[in-house]
Amino acid sequence: MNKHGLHARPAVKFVQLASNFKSKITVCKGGSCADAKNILKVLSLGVDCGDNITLKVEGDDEEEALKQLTHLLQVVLPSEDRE
Amino acid sequence: MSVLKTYRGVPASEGIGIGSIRVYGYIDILSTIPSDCKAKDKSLEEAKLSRALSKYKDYLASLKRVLPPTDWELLDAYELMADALVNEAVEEVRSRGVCSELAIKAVYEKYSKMFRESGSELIALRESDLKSIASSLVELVSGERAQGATLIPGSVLVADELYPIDALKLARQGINGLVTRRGGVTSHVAVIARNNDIPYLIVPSINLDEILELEGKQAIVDSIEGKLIVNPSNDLIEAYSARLKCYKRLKEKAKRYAFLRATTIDHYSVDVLCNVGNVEEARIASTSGCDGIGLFRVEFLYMGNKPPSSDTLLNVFHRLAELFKDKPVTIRAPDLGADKPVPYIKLEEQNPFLGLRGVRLLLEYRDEILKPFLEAYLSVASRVNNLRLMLPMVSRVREVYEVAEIIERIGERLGVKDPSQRVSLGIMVETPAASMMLDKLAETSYVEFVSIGTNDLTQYVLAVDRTNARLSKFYSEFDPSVLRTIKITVDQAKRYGVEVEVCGEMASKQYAVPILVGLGVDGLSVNPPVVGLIKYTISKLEAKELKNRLVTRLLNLSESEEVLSEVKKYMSEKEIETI
Repeated sequence: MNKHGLHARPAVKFVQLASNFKSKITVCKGGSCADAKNILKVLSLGVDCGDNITLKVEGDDEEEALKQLTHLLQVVLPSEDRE
Repeated sequence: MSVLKTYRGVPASEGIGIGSIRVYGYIDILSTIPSDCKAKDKSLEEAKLSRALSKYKDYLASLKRVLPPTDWELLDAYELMADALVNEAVEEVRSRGVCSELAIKAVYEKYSKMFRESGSELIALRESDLKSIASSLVELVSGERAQGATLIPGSVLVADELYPIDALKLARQGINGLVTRRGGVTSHVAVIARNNDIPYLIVPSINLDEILELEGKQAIVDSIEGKLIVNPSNDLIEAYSARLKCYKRLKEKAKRYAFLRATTIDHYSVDVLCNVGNVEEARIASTSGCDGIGLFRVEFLYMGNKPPSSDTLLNVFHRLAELFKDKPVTIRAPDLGADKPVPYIKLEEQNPFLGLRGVRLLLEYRDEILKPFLEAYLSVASRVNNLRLMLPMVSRVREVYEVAEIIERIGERLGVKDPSQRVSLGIMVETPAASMMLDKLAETSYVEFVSIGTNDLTQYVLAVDRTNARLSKFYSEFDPSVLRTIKITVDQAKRYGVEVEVCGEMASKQYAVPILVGLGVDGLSVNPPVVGLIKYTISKLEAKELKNRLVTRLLNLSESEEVLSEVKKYMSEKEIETI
């Protein structure tokens, strides 16, 4: 996870991107899961730096969704942190 | 009952406002919702929720037009949170049959608890944003019943602290003045106030319980001199109404001067620079017409639990250099201690204003603060050509040598050629010692410019604590002793070809302009909103006449009141309009 976890700024990008897809997308941390298109639920997970999270994507565009969301989490957000 | 009371404050948006007092946001609107509030008609409640959401989104869209792009992500976060909150509130209405206000409150409480228990401090901080969103939504749904709607246009609004969105909403409703106790989120609120021409004053000493009892009573926000007057007499209101009229007329006139070079009738040019305290203010200043930054205060970067990282410093310096391109940006080394204590330096002093502060503190904590600061500064300054460095609270010549030596060593390590020559170094003249020793300071050959910090200089010359309200009648930059000290400073500097600027509050005062120009200063560093006014004033003056007649006369007076009345007389003879 990037330096600051999924707090407001990165969470906005994550939720905005997730909302572009038709698939049902769930993000999980530890035992709890949240609808990736709902920012209140995503924030409530309290994802901090170093936390492991799991993405579950189900639907017509699941492959593309997983690809883009993974890219956001692993490449885009960490690079913004370095700025 | 009706006792006049005056509070001192810091002007965040200039102007004069007269109106009746309204206290905003003091009563937590969420706590006023009855816990048995039921929906009479579920579909009606749902419609109210969706109307409130769309109005709220309108506000966010307007805020986007006002705030810089760097803040848009936060607004996006607000929009997403409001969406999710209303969606779930609709569920609440459907499943539990509660009224829309209670539904919003229930959803807010649920997530507020989850945020706090998320285990992430950053997310817990978002709880206050969620509260602001929920409160705004409740206000929008309940319409006429909400306190926002009881606002009478033309009132003077008092609040503990405001969110940008509230400020925008209030500006739309047409308030005459704004006062807050805290200024945490205020740089945005100040921008909104300025854009909407609302006088805005930050008054830390205000007691909201006291003000709450005065709701409906008259008040004057004097955000030029920094005063809030509660319960003014009718005469005072009349006097201020007349001032307000003149002020508006003069402001229109001053606008036309803001982007011109300030030159006196006899062709003596004066730089009009700006004082700013963060990058956002610098951005605003860059559009105000000023000839550069005469004082950039970096202290905001040092107020956390530890000094700023080198990345943060580099980033700020870069952005400043970029914003002003070929115009100078004067960065003052952190002036910590005294009235700006930081948590990571414990100073237990009987008398902090005469204590370890300014450059003294920097040299004492050179490894922790001075060196990292200079390293970041040098690595940016050596690649651009518009940064200048200024040392605060210099009182001994050796302080300049010591800093120059550190600059030299850091420069060598960074591969900067002749660092102390390449760095445009200046000092603040805030102590009588610096003024008396200016020749010796200039002889070090390191000092290229000086900037007179009149706030501290006045308190040290007069031995009056400027934070002591009981002494305020003794504190005046117009005291002849202060003017004489400034004269000594300017004369010495001129002898050595060192540039002289003034960056204290005095420079922003219109009546000080003839004096300072007459004494021969090269630049005035002022608060961004008065750039036009100061330039207008300079352009109506004749430097030679000021020097030969006015200033000589002023220096021979005994009292500050006499100085002020002489200047006022002079300006009215010259038909210079004043605020």
